[in-house]
Order: sequence, then structure tokens, then C-alpha cells
Amino acid sequence: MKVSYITSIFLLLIVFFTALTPNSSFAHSGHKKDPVADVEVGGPSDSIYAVGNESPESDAGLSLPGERDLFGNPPSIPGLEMTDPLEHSKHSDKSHDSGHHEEPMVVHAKREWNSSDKSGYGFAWSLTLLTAGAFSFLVFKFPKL
Amino acid sequence: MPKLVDTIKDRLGLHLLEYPVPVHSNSIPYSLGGITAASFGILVVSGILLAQFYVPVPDKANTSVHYLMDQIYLGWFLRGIHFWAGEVLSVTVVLHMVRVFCTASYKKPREVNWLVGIALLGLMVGLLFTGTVLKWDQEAYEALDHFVWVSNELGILGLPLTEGFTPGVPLLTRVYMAHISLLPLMTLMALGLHLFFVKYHKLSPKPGEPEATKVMPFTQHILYLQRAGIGALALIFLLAVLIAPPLGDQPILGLEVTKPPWQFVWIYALENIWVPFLIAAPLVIGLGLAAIPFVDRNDETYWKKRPVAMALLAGTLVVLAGLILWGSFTTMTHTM
Repeated sequence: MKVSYITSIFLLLIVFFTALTPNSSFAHSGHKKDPVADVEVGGPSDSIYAVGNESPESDAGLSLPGERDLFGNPPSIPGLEMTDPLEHSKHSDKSHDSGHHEEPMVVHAKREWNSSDKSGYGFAWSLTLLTAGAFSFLVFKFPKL
Repeated sequence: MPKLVDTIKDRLGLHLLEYPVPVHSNSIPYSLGGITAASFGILVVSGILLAQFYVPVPDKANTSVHYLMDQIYLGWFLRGIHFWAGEVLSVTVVLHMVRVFCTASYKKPREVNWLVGIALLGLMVGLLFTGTVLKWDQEAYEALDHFVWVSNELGILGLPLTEGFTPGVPLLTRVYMAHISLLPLMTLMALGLHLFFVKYHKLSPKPGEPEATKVMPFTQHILYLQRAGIGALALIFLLAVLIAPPLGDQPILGLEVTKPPWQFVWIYALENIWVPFLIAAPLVIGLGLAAIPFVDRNDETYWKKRPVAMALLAGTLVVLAGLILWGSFTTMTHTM
């Protein structure tokens, strides 16, 4: 009984890992895709995550040390340099004093409900129900553990 | 078949796991440490997968997380699992500590294991903090900004944690290194030591009992922990499939407009009272926790007969909850 129990856990884990790494497990992520279409098709427009759908590798290569500061930003943009954090309070105080304080717009990131149009949404639910089912089975099968 | 199982047990030395443990270890309060370890395991596995898609340089980090969330098959689910495993761990680790405190399991002869546990707590906080920074949005930048401020204030002690320590290497990249290698390695070593001491000093008996009377083989406790771990996994999956973790855009440097995650919001509230609390509070709390077994020296373990200890615990939890609520629902005005 214990062997089959452990085997079922192994199978569950294998299914889990395989499902989460389609790019490395299957050629073309398990289904044939048009690479051109991949670039053109954007993500869901109503998501806070849909701001930059370009591949992170599509940018230019890494810059040489010295071109950018330690936070990786061009040092020449006025007002946006990474300065000594202690200086922020001084800047901030000055801004408040001047009465012309204009902060750049920052969209606050929040937790939000996942929409059903996420890729693999149904499969994620299947995995969740499978795991919950496995837990329920173990609870009812071995109540006196 | 039974012979084959016996042979495998013999070759792998699995019979060594059949040592006796108290029957009460198969209960939720005494399995919180195991559930925390299970959550850590889920974090390691999901973290290894996440690392395949993350670009740890400041101008690409945030984009790579967005790309994972929007373009990679089940990428949103993977990140959700990692995030929610961290949330579950945050809760179970605190509950585990509360249980250990209530049952006085830190008392003689388990003082050293309490200290190892405090070290593990510090490492978990470090992992949580560095994980917050990696998404490199406004919240992440501000967290790192505070970290840089604290490091600079610490002078020579904080030098290795400053950006000037390794010129030419973005601090974010070093935070990434700490998150995926240094801190997990240290955590695994401390976890090994923690488990060794649990085995060496045995699981603590029920409060008020000098020695555990009813015992069972440890393998039975492992089965219970496996079941609890699968339960934790199911909960994490459910949360991951329902709720997406927060993720903003590339940060605007020099601003302080966001609040930290709830695990850090209490210190954010303290910072509002007095900025140097950023340094003083973790130090005082860490030393205070470490001092507990050396201050509380009496042999009493039953909670009803330890009114001072219980009052201190209740007071600490109320203050902590109050600070979290205050920090969460009010607008803070401080600047560093």
C-alpha cells in the first residue's frame, strides 16, 4: 500500500513538472506554433500584466559597465538617477515646500482575480482538482494516521 | 514483493527511520514545521522553474516577469504557485513558532534548536525580501532602496550589501544570486541542523508531561506529513489559480509611494514613527527572540501555569497585528 502511495505521488509530481515546462519537454511547447504570429499576438489588454509583451531578449544586448549605473539605468536622465537614498528626503522636502510637486504616475500593483483566458487555465484547474482529490482521498482512506 | 521492499529498505537504511516518536506528533499543531518545510520544497521546485525565464538585470527583469505571466504557457500559474507558497510559508512559520512557544518546546534541552529556528526565520525573511525585489516594479525598487539605506547606515558592517562593494554589477543581480543560491543553501544547512536536533533531543512531549508515553514509528509521522504537504500543495494551487500576485511596471526611481507586502508592513508602520526603527526593530526582535530560552529558565511547560509568558505572547501578537493593520489601512507620510 505504501509503495503504491509513493508511486502515485511520484506520478503526480511528474505530471506537474511536465505540465509546467512545456518548452523544455516538447518541441514548440507541445504544439506547433507560428513564430511570426507569436510576436504579433498581444496578451489580454485588460490585464495589468499586458504592458510589455515583447520578449525580454528582444532588446539590445547587455550594456558595458559604466554605460549604466548600478541599477542598470542610464545615468543621464535628469531627475531619475539612483541617488543616495538619504538624499530622497531632501528632494522630497524641497518638492513639498515648492508647492509645485508633480509626481510621475505610478500604477499600484494589486492582487487580482485570474481571468479564464489565461493560457492553460483549464489545465491549471485540472491540476488543482487532482491535487485536492489526492488530498481528500488520503484523508478519507487513512483517517487515523 | 515484500522481500523486495525489505531488500530496498535494508540497502537504503530506511529501517533507521522507524525510531519512535510521540503519537501527538500526528496533529496539525505539531506538523506546522513539516508543512513549512513542504512549502519551502514547493518554493524550491517552482523557483528552479521560474529561474529559467528570469533575466536578472534591471532593464530586463520586470519585462521578463511580464513575459512569463503573459506569454509562457502556465507561466502565470507557476509564478502564482511560487508567490502563494511564500504566503503559506509566512503563515505556517509564525504558527509553528507560536506552537513551540506555547508548549515551551524551546526549554532545556532544546535551547540551541530554538536558536537554529530563529536563524531559519531570519533566512526566510531574507528570501521573502529578495523575492520581493526580483520582480523589479515600484514596490521592489522601494524595498531595495530601503535596504540600501540600511546598509549604508550600518557603515563597515553593511558594506558588502551596498552597491559600491562590487562596481559594475547591478545590485539586483546580486540580490538574485542571494535569492537563488546563497540564502537557499544556508536555509538547507540550517534546516538540516534543525531536523538533526529534533531527532537528537526527540520531539517535545505534551506540555505538563515529563516524557511521551504513547509512541509510534517515525515513518507513520512521515506519511502524515506527506498528506499535510499534499493538502498545502492543493491550497497553494487553488490560490494560484484564483488570484494573481501583484506585479507593477518598471519602477520610477526616487519615489516612495508604495507599501511593502503584509509581512513587512509592520516595520513600514514603525518607520513612520521613527525612521531608524528600520535598523533597530529587526535587531531588537531578533535578539529578543534569541534570548527567550535563556530568560525563561523554569521547568514549567503547561501554558496555563505560565501567565507572564502567555501575556507577553498575546501582547506581541496584538501589537504586530495592530501595526500590520495600521500600516495597511493608513497613508504614511514619512520619507527617508
